[in-house]
Amino acid sequence: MAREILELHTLGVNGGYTKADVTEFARVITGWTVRPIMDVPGGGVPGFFFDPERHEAGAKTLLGKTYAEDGRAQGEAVLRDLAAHPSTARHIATKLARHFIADEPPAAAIDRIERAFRSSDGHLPTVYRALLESPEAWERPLAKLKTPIEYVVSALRALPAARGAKPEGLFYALRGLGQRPFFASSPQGWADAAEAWAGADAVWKRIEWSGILASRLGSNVDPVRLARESYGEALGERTRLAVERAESRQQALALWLASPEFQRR
Amino acid sequence: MTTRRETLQWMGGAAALAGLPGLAFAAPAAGERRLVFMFLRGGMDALSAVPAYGDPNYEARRGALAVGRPGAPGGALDLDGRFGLSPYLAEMHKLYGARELAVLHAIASPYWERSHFDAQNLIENGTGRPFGRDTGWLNAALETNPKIAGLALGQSIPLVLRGPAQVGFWSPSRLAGPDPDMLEKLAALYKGDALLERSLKAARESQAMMEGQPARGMEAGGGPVVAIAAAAGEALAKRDGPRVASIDFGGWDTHINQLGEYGPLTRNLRLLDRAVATLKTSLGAAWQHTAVLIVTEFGRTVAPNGSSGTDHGTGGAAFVAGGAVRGGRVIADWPGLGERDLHEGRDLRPTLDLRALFKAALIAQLRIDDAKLEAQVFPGSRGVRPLEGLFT
Repeated sequence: MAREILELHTLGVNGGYTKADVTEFARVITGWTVRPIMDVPGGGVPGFFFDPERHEAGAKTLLGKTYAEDGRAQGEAVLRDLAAHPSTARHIATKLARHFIADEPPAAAIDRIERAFRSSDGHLPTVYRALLESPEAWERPLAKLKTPIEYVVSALRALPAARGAKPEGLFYALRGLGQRPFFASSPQGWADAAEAWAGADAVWKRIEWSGILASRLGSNVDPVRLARESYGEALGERTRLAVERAESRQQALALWLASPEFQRR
Repeated sequence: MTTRRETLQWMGGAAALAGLPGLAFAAPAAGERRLVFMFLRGGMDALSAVPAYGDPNYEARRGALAVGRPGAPGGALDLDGRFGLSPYLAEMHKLYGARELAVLHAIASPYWERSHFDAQNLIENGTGRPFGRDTGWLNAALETNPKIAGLALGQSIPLVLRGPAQVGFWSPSRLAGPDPDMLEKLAALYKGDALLERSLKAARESQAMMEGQPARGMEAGGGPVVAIAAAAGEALAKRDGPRVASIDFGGWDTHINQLGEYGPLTRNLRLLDRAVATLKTSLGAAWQHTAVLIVTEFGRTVAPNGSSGTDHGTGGAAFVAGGAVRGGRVIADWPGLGERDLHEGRDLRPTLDLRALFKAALIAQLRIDDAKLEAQVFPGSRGVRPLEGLFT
């Protein structure tokens, strides 16, 4: 857990911590645990729980700073310092830029977001504003390939007829497309780059799924209008024509859902 | 409730083969030897599949789950006077008689805990640690020889075949895929999106190669795994087809009422038996050059639990089938089922490391040398020596 906090959630893998920092941090958060729901007497709230009996007492030194023994507050003090660390600003800025702009995020955008993070003390609305105001985030063609959950959710949101779809359907769709909810294969979470989601089998399954969805819902929608209204200027000429000239409404809808525009964001 | 039909509709059961542009399986120089990795997920109950009826403690420890001695009604099919096969594995027993099937007992990964996820992950990633890396050893083996193509069959590409080497993918489906007109139109739309264009091209080539197989497989009956076995055999039999395939077969976590005519274990053993026989048939002459590894993540408790099932255990059993196997024998350094023989007082104690089997198979079937085995395929496994003499 200590390693994951440092590597994945704060400083980042090259953020300047050592193996000794990891083990020291692990000592700091001894006693931090989770109380499962069945262990909560009288129906209290499950979740995070500090168990002083399991906390290793004493001062701990990490990243060059010594933290006096202070129970749960010792770990909180470390987390506060980690959150304010320059490596964290860089790491979070990079992750945001990768997630919202491009798999290989442009350096200028990372710099801008990082500056916003540092100057605002990590005030997230300020950080997001810097992201939204980055011109790189608005460039076309759209750079990011949707992950399955983004793909499925955006398709269902675009289709009024899908309202009221059963949650099981959503689950089966995501499982079929390779992103079973809550089952990422490592603590790192789901991959945030197109390569992981655009293998031949993955692309084929998206096409199949778009066809299935369109065959169930396509008869009651106007795909041409839907495509134009939901994508506006981002809808390319080629896709617009293909949707207009499709052999059926179902095919039009399937083509639009499987189009490069709709698969990207 | 969601019916099975709805499920299929939503997930789009059919799938395609992944690969590089123009990929398919163009590798005439890949040689004749073939390797199939069949993973029985959930933990096969080894003492039901391969009853150790010769162990003096077998019947007492197994209680109601004990398989009868050979000759008794519903009794085991004898292997070597000590071990038998489940009566539901009659086809595999024939292969054993023809020396085309070997049985390994008291075998396990180096992981002796009882989590499915950790155990499966470790067996597939090849590092000897759960989540030791996010790619698989069979993919690492393919990476050492780009001439050898791999094919994953099942719901998705299993970890064992995931990694830098491109592998094909196939899953059975009753659904008709996208129609050719739609695919033509999409191919036109994807021009200008290099990533989507490349993947669609590879998928279409693979679909074309597998044309007709889902239907044939399903006609063979017996559910997806038999269909998958049929498809695997047909693909592997092709002259320029893949030489490595993985087959995923889940449903072995038999905690409740595992035996009996309709018990989950009975059903699975019958399916396994049919799948292996189907593989042989569909491979045709290529069976001669094939080795099929049939493994599971762990064995189950020696004693039945309170629900006529068994819980997660440690030592298990594995099978190796095919014409490239020196079969007709049981390989086991038998630890015994006495009170003090058991691991933690409840499980069969492993005496053989699954990696010894995997290494031997890779050396024999894919001609991978020791240095690469140690460095890339099974890092940190120097102490695990490949089993000798198991393959022709």
